Amino acid sequence: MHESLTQADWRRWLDDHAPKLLLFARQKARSEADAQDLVQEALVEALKRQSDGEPPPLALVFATIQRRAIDLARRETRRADREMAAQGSGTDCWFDTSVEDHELQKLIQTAMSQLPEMYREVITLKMWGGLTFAEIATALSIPPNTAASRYRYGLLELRKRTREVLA
Amino acid sequence: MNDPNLDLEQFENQLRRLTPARPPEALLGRLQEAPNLAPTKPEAATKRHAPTLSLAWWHRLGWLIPTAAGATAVLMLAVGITIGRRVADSRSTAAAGHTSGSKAVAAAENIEFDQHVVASFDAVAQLPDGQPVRFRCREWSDGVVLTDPKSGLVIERKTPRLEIVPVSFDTY
Repeated sequence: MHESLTQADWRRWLDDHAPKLLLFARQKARSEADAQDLVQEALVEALKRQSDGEPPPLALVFATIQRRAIDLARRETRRADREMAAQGSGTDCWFDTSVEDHELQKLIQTAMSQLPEMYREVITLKMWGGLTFAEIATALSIPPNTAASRYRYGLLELRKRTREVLA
Repeated sequence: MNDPNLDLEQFENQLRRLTPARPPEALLGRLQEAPNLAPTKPEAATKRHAPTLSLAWWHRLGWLIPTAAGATAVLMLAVGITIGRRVADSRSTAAAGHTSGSKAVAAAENIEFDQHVVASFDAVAQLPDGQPVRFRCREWSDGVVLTDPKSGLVIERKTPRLEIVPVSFDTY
């Protein structure tokens, strides 16, 4: 265990950030198993880079997930296709089902699944990852203005797809 | 007509009401062990400090580079001068040796010995008991002539030599 990072501290950090990381990994991976592996590998790699014994910066973990997802997609496209076909899509809930808006979360998850990835990843990082456009730009290796425009276009597209249901 | 910006802002607020789902407990258990899979802080610190220490060491010895270059240049200059002198000496020695060798060869091939009788006479002496003794005397000139046609060198040396032969003195 890293010095000055206790089990309790780490558990609290995971409670705060693991849901965001997994949500982002689910946008990038083609199966739930791959998404969970991505989160774990990215956290281990980010912790290795930390020399001060503190939890890794969230933007760094997101960037690591992004990079590892690209590597994974190149490496295991066939296997991911088979797993996705076998388990089906949309079986895992992306959002907390304890909230009142159960229908809303199902609707958004479906609409998000149909969005182009370049919009989906930016919306996820901004809306639920809590990153700034500058941090998103670093994580995704794109200019900040591009991140901002993708966020706006993605929201518009998402709004258009849900307009019939949401008033 | 609705304001698109206002509509988008309201939609954004709706989205914010959603929170990412909590990961499965199995995954949380794996993530809880993530720090144990990463190196501890001292190891990571050592790895990061290694290049820094190396760089500092290099900076401290930076003065050594021009000094070593200068010393090498001076050393090479001294060695070059020494070698040059030795080569010049060996060349002059070889030239001298070649010259003397030529003379020796010339001497060995062009040496003439000559002996001339300069004078010949008899001398009479008397022994202590009164008995006369006759000596036949000859003066010789022993000459040595060395010539080298290539260089036009001619060395001639003549040494006088006295030959005295006692003969019986005949009394009549």
